[in-house]
Amino acid sequence: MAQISGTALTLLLVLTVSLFCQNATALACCRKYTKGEIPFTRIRGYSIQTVRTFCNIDAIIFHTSIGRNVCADPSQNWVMETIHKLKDKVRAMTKKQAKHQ
Amino acid sequence: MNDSYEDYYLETVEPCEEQGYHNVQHFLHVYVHSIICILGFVGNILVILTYAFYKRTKSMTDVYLLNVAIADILFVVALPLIIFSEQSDWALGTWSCKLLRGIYSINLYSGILLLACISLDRYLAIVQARRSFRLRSRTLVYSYLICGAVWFMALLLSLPTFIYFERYKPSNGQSHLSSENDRNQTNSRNNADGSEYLVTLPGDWYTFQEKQYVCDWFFKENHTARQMKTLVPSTQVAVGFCLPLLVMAFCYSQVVFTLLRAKNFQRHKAVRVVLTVVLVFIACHLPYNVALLYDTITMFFLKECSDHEHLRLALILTKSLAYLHCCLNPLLYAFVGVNFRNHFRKIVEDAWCLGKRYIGARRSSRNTSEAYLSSRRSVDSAAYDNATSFTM
Repeated sequence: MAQISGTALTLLLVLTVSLFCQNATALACCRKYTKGEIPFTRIRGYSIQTVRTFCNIDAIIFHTSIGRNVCADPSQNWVMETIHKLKDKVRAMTKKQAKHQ
Repeated sequence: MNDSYEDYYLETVEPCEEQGYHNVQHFLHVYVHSIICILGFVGNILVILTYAFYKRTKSMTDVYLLNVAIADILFVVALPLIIFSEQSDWALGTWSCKLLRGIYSINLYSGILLLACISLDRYLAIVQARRSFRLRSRTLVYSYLICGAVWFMALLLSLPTFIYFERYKPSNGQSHLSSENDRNQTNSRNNADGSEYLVTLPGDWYTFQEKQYVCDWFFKENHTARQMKTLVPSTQVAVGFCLPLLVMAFCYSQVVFTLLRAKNFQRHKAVRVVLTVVLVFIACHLPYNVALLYDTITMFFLKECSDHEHLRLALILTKSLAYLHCCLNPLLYAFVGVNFRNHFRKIVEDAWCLGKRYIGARRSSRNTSEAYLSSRRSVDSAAYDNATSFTM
């Protein structure tokens, strides 16, 4: 009995101490999409959110020039067009840089 | 430059950050979950010790009770390890993520399914008493087989968790491109193959996206992702709640009718115990399963951040209530039985006497207590064993 209560007390101590070290795990996901179009000039980059990990909808997250992250619907035309334009732009940029070097 | 910006700025939707309920989660982890773990551990270890040292697993009920205690104890051991791993970035690697989540799932299923087996066993013992007497007294093999089947089924139902849970950084699978306008403002640099530009952007996105590892779903295909994300929680609701609830509702209602017809002075107590068992099961598991079902149905819907957060809070709170059930099981099933209490009393007395002997006290008290208990034990004959498992 004494051994059991000893084990219980140790467990209590270990648990309480370990659990007090709370650390925030924040997961961010787009839950719906922006309705309007974002002007191309404001977009600095994008990220892809897929249903394959912890998020539950597919989304394109555009990063804007004032540091905002905007959720966009990948099934809309303007979104995919924007991505293609961005890719082209980067490709052009890479070529230009390669020429300079 | 910023004239037209405000127009669309008002309509923009940003990713929802899940940071609203840290205080609630912190409170639950520190106070509620630790208490549940300690009580569950102590209660279930006492059940296991009682069976290990004093009470041979004589009946089917005993085998089930022992297995429930084992499932519950694995559950309360896995729970603090999961909480600890979440906070330590799953530092033990992806196998610890798979293993802990998988073990958690196995014990959740086996614990609940075994409770359904217990109700079935009591139904056979009381309602079908004549028919089942020979079968039950003849062999324990059936109960071992049933327990084996339950554990195997629990393992089978937990396989998706073992397979599709991974430890990864949330930023995986995302590509970041820069456009030419911003080259002066951002730290753009060449990728390894020189084809793309990676950008480090100011703002919250990267700080919270690249901070920590998570242990969560990870699929290779969208199709599998959608399928599994719906299938796993709906199976949990169906097999881990609805099926056992239906079995318990049928068996215990039959048991209660039979008991009420019997002319036994203890029948009211027995009925009360049966009702408590069912009501506690419903009270602990119904809220979480309702929340889980709603979450599964609306999983792929578009929703507001606030709606998602409310649902998340509901899931967090109801889940803690469901956890509570594993430390109530020893009280509801094992210690409620007269037989079990007597065996347990013997443990306490023996341990007490052992302690006394260490200090150098007389041995005579031990002998008297043993004599007293052995006489008690012979009174509780095997025939009463099942009926007394829920007599107070």
